[in-house]
Amino acid sequence: MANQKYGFIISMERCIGCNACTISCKSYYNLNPSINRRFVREVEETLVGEAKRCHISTACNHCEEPGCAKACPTGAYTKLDNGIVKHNQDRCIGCKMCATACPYGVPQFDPVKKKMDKCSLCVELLEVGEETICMASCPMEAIQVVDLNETETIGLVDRVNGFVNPDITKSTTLFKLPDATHTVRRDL
Amino acid sequence: MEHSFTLVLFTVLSQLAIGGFITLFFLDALKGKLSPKTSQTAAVGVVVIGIVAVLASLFHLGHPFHAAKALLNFGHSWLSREVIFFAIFIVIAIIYLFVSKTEGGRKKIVAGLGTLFGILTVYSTAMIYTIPSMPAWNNGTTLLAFMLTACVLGPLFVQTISGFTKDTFIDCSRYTTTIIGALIVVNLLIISVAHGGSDEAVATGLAICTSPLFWIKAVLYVLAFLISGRSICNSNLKNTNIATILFVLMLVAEFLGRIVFYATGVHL
Amino acid sequence: MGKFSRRDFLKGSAALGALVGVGTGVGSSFKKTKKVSAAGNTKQVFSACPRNCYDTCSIVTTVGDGTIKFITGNKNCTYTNGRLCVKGYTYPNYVYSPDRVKYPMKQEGRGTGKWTRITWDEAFEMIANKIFEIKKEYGSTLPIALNKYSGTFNTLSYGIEGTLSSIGYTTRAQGTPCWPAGIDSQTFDFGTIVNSDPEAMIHSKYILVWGANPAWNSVHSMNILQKAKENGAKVVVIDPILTDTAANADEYIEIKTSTDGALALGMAKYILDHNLHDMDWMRKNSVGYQEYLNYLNNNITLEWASEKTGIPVEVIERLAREYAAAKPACIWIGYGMQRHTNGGAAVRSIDALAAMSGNVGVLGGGANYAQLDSWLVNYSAMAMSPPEGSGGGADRMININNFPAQVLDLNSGDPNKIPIKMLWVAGRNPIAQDPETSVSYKAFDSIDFVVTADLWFNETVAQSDLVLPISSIFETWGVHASYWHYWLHINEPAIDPLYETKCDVEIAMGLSKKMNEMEPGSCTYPTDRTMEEWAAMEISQDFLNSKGMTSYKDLLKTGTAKVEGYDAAWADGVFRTPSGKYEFLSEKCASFGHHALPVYVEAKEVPTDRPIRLLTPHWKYGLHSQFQNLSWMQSVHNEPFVEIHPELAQKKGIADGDMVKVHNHIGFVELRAKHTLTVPKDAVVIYEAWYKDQKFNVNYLVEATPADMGSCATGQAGLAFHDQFVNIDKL
Repeated sequence: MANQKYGFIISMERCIGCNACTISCKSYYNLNPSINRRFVREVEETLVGEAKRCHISTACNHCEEPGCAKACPTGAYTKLDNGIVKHNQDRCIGCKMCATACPYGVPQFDPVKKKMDKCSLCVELLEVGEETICMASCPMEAIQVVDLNETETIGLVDRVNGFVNPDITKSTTLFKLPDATHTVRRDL
Repeated sequence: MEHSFTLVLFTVLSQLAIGGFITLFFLDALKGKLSPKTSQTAAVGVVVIGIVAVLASLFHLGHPFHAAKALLNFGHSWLSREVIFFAIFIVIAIIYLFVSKTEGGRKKIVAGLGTLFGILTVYSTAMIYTIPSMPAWNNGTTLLAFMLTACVLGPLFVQTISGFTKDTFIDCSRYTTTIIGALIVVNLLIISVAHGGSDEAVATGLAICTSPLFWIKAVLYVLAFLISGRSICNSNLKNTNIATILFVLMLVAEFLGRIVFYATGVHL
Repeated sequence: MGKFSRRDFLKGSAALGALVGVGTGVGSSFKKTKKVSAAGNTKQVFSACPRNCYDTCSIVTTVGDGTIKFITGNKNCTYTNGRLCVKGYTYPNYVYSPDRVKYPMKQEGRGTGKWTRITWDEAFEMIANKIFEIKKEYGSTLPIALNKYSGTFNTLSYGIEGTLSSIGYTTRAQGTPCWPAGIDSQTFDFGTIVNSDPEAMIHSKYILVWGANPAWNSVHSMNILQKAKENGAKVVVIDPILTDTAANADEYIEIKTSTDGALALGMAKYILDHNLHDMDWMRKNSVGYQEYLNYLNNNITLEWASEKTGIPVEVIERLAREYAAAKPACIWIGYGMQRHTNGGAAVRSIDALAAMSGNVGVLGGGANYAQLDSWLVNYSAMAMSPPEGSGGGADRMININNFPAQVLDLNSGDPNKIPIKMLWVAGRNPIAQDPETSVSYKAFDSIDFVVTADLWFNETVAQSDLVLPISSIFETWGVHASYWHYWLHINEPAIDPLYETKCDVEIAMGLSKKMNEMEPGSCTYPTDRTMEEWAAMEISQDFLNSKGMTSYKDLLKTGTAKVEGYDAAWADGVFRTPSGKYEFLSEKCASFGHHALPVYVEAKEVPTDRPIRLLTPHWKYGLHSQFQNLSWMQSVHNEPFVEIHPELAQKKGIADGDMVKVHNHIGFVELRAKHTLTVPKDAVVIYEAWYKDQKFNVNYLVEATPADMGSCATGQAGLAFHDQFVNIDKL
């Protein structure tokens, strides 16, 4: 049955760094105001060609060798057959070791629940054939959640300069790098 | 950093307790150099400090009453291993309280097992932090520093206790001076390794060097090194009062150092 | 609630989306969705975002147990495609924020924060007494001023103007800070503002985004641009700042700020020289083209344009060639580029470029600025007549763009001037948003009584005597239109009003009731309508007829409907100018003191003692003083900063992240410097926003310098927000 391997594909070409994904996710899951499940970061302006604004939007990268799962003393994290790294909040005792161990700093401490929180890849929506909230909300349609086993990944990369080396935990998130923009700048 | 002061307390105190126990293993169980009163008092001290360390660590948890769940991932998690090893260590230390008055093999075996689980605990603690997401920590210096904390504080602790129990003074000045010297070298090593590492490690190195606490620690190290070194050849300084002063200096230094450790860790 | 109802909700919204264009089926299916959801005590209603924004989104709000659970875009509106923006997604936080003004409150000493809760009845009585007192003393209500603008564009919020009209003749802050120079330009050229439906940009082969940043301010149009690009269109952004829009474009051209007119004229000159212009179109549809072409021939060279704009001659040539060759080619004229002392003139030059190249009236073309044709509403809440026997003769207009200075002038003690004794602020945060903040404070100090209606304890509320709690759009009715796309939305209340909040029209009705109790006949505002009735009255018969609808209830089925016929603005060739044609030469323009032709007007000179230009564009996490104050927004960003080019920073010894002081002759702000290669080397950029509990307000640095145009269509000239100059030093 579980032949899918879910994962994110982020089009940096489309992403405008607006954080609509972060906020819609926060809204849908009614997260504590202080924590997020998605993160939009600025990356170096000279990432591709001449300088321009570049952003990277990620959530949990649902790694093949998740650092969180290794660090967690309660075994609250499970790498599922469908690719999702699941955090079982019932088991979590809020020791925060996963936050330190995750190279991406993904798990966040919910100050009210006193437990860690992270992206679930909206598994309950995927299971009924719906899109994840971030995917459905992104006004630029820059976020895709796909079955990586069934997806053509030519033209996609697993690493972005200035972002964490994906080899550490074998991140499954793939990126489409932005195209270079031809720029005419004033000489001063 | 997310890490609270409770982790500073836990790591330094657990390493103090373990160092103290290992000292008992050598001086008491193996060599029989300690009076029963001293070894008993020191063993009680080890147990009490160990329990305080555990209690302190609980405050770090979001749900302290569910701390037992932390044992569940022994197969993968160094934190689970640390918890289990340290729990076993404390149980052995308690057993040692009962066997320490006896002579012979049983005491040695108990002390040896305690030493083993103590070392496993310090190793596990170090491995928790030897992770790629914290580049400055992700090398042997973390383990070295943690082990040296236990090595320096343990004998000084037992010496201090022997002062309270009016026991005869056991001279460890050469040993202590060597370990303090090693700590100074390891600290230099930590900074130079950090400066030669990734951007995050460099940031850590810079943060350490600009931390006032680090420089207070450095002064304490040098002071302790000089006092301890002087006591090697000056018999006037070979007494428990000097050992107590050194213990206090090094305990404060290790606390400050551990605060700096957690405060300057830069995540990827 | 929980996962169960959310899943139902998503199914529901998917069903809504699937039904776009199915017509009569829409209503019944929506009911079915409601029925399914009712099982989980959950319902969905259509809301609409009332903010001052191009995109004006229709929203689907999911409500469970009387609480908003989640909001998303309405898929029935093809412009948004069922997606909102980052600001829109914060609405649940906005509605339930603990920071909201909850009750009518009076303040003991302005700025003291000593607020005491009072009842609505007491609040109305306080206001009514003040009005009667002023009337008695001055024989009219002219000493009562209204300062209202774009905090809410729910058309029912024009009830704020209605409130003041219903008590007599008053003083009004007239005009608009935002876009008037460009409106005048297009009024002179085309007769009014009408842009092509932005959804039609998909048909364009070449898109010049000129001084607009849709990535931050019109994100749904950004998606259309992206799709046009993927369709093969070339997207070129002309801007002093390398914005996120520019970063996603094929090409970015850095233009020297406030020289846009020179570029447009240079391009037109090249097109004319190479015979790429559309003579037939000009002959048929325009007047004054010969004079315009003569002007180009006699006065414009590419070398001149290059020198003015800082863009190499060969780039201007290529741009002109590409623009003229691509059919159709579209220009999006942003509001940023007209916030200059020569901004109106620049827009006229760009209009002329589009017209002379045959890109006006064609699908996928146009000189697209804005529109108000889709506002098929009756303004029923606004149109009020004064009580019989009102003194003063007519409303007195003062300039919204220099409001504080004008108030101070009227309140200077000159016996020939009727002073401002009472100020009503609604739908606006003038202390945060008006230029010359220091003067704003003085102006407020000179007014006896200030009442502000708002949702937040912002700077303006802090300088008020009385605050009236306003309900959010989710707690009332509304009818909303955009000034860019052509959809008209209805907004149904999703939840009951929280605390003791009221909408502006309810306040008008409450005040009217009180005033008439105290002095019968003193207020004409009707008091016997429900908000639903007001909303129903708002939608015009023209709109209903055009959509084959019989009442507003039909609009409730889809939440939104599009006003048709604007795929290509001016396609019929019927212009609304005096001549009925496109006017390259406009006598009307000349009658307002400008040149009749779209000539180049020199940019404001850079003062030698303040050589660094300050640009203060809109911020992506806020709309003026809204949204950035919310805790959700704070979780992604919560510190103002100034963008500075590393070369300029190096000259000033400013490292990335240093605290700096940006200052000029009227004020200063202190904030963190951020190095970026995306800003010009001779300018710094500070985004305008209201950060909660922080002292930052960039308008301390902004002078009330008027733009060249605006007084024809909006009554007052615009503001040259981007002709501001500063120094910057490391702190």
